[in-house]
Amino acid sequence: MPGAFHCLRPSLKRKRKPKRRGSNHPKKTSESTNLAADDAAGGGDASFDLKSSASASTASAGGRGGGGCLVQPLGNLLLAAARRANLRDSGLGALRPLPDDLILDVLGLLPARDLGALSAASKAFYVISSHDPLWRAIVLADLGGNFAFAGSWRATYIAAASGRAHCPPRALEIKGFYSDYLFQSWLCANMEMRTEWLDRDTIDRRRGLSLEKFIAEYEEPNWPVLLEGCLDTWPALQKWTREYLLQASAGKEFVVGPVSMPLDRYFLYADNVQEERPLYLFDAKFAEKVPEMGSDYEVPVYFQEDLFKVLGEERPDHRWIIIGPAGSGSSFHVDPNSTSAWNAVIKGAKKWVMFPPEVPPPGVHPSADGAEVTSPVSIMEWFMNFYGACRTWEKRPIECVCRAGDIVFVPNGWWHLVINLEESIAITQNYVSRRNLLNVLDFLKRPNASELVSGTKDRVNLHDKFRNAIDAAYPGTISELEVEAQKKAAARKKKTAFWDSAVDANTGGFKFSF
Amino acid sequence: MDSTADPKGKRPLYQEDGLAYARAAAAAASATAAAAPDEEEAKPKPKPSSSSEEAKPEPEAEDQAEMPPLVLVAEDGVEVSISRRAARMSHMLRLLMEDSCADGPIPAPNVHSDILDLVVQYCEKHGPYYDPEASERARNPFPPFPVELTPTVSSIKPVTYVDPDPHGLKDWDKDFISLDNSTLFEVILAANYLNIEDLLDLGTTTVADMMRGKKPEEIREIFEIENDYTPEQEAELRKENAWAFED
Repeated sequence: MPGAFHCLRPSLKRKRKPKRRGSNHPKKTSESTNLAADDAAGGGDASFDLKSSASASTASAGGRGGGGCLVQPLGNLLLAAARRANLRDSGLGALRPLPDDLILDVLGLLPARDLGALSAASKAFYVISSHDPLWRAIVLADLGGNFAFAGSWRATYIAAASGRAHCPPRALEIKGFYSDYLFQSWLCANMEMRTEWLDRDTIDRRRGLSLEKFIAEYEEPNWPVLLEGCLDTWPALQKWTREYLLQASAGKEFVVGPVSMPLDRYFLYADNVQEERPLYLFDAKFAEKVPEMGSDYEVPVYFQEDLFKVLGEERPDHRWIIIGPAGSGSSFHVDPNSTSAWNAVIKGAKKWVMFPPEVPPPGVHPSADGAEVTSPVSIMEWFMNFYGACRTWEKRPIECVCRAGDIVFVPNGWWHLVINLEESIAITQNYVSRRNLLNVLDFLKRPNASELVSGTKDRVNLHDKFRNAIDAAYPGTISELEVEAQKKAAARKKKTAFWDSAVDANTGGFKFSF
Repeated sequence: MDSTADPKGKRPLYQEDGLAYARAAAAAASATAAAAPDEEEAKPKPKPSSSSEEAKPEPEAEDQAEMPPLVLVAEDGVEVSISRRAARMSHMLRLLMEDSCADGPIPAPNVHSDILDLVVQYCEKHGPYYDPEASERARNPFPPFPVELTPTVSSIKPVTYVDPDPHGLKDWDKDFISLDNSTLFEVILAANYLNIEDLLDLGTTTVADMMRGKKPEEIREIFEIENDYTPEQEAELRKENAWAFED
């Protein structure tokens, strides 16, 4: 096949994963057996550390990580001492030629009752139909945010459907089912972040930076930085215990993924979940819902110029509270509207990986207009399969672990991935300052801005509204900035390699290649 | 197309820096694959401008019809041709066409020519009405930036979702997909390999429909599944699944 077919097929459906190039066969580590053969897939890693709560020997529907022992990777079948058949082959009948991801696509179209019937058809179907993400979709579709998490999504659904608080533990122990796809999914859900993924800390860390220096050294050149000690005045740092948050938000619901729920129900989920892409609480209206929370923090001095303010009520969503368990986070993306952002950790710790605007991370393929990011591998999968690649690149990412009390500045256009290393609470805001005003206006002007401009109800006119509002509040500013930008562009004759030169905030945003 | 266009044609899909190697490879491949690839290259339409004429039968479709069809080579060596308009339905073939690598024979290993014929038949039928933008839009299962999580973005398609069917393709599809199990699954695999979303959807929906509302024994019969449970295990299962049968 010509080298043109270089993009991972987009993951278009709920369950479809892109073909992983050069994927390793992960070795299963369990307390009982450890097949210690060298990984044949070249460059493979050794064992994976499982989260202590992952139960590799028994799985119960009521316990954590339901389905833990039901699947082994295909490699184990090949390396088995005695000749063994894969339960999958005999148990799927005519469906055997279909790969697991397609079978899951089919099962994803079925309601809970049919999954139950399928599980009784054969052991192989039992294993596949207990794949927990299937049940998550069903719970969220049928119950919305109104679920009491019972350790696994399947248990959660069954408990709700049968009206019983606890469903009986998984009756059958099934051995002999081998599948890389399903195993990989289980592994990503139960794996710990490896130390070598966490020990690189290449971001600039500054404390006590003056506003002028911040602008000159980071905002203007559009470079990330981790700011220490800015949250010392925030009441939130001391006040935001669970008890306080629960009490302050009583009766209110927060946005969690596609649904909403009150905080106590969210904590019930977060404390007991073990999955590849945990739902996390990400609410843009937290300060409106609980005004007290809004006054428990203040915007640090570096970010107080926020020109979207001129739009008043019509400004796009700009501030969020983020709460999530270990393993939750955002896979690679660029923030919308070409804005810059800051992210302050009030409790917990986050691992960040950032790439500059013109360097798409390995494994990520944006469409030309930036609207679609194809191949959205999960965070853990990205670390397993792609992180290693960029360690040897010339263009390495900027990485750090951000802990409570610190803020990360995300310059506009930068790709970033964030994962919570422990339960974390953070506040993040997106903003527009003079430094990236032109960028944002450019972005809003684009022909397909109606698809990309996010966070507002009135997408198409945002550009005009914003521009007019700026002209009214800060007359002459836009023209001044345009003149400056032209001067700079003229001065910059030679196009230097991106990584070596600091990219101006006004040119660092989305780029089209026509 | 415009004769003064850049001889490489328009490259809408990829940012320049990261994938320059792929473009070089593509240029090399197309140079050896067919004579005079340049004249045929001007076809690909840049995505940003196409979005301004969404959902209309694009003029480009007529241009494509004038160009020679693609040639797919099945696993048994038989060549199957597919018009460019129909080939758009395959994401893989679309990429090849846009990168001008589609001029020589395109291998389709693991797909038998009989199956390939069926797949091509589907694409030729649906090709004229196919809008790549429309189908790709609503499908991102995990939007990376969780700003707009309104139901339209949700990946969960309700089972009762009703597709408008202006061209009467539903009935045609129903006939088309009435195949025996093994052919059906081969078609699904081929659609998966060639990345033809609509056909894949049709296939998986059909299989799901075969399972819907059935008892375990019926499922076993339909899909020729061996019951590998012992009677004791079956009894346990019945208990475990009591919730499913309570209504």
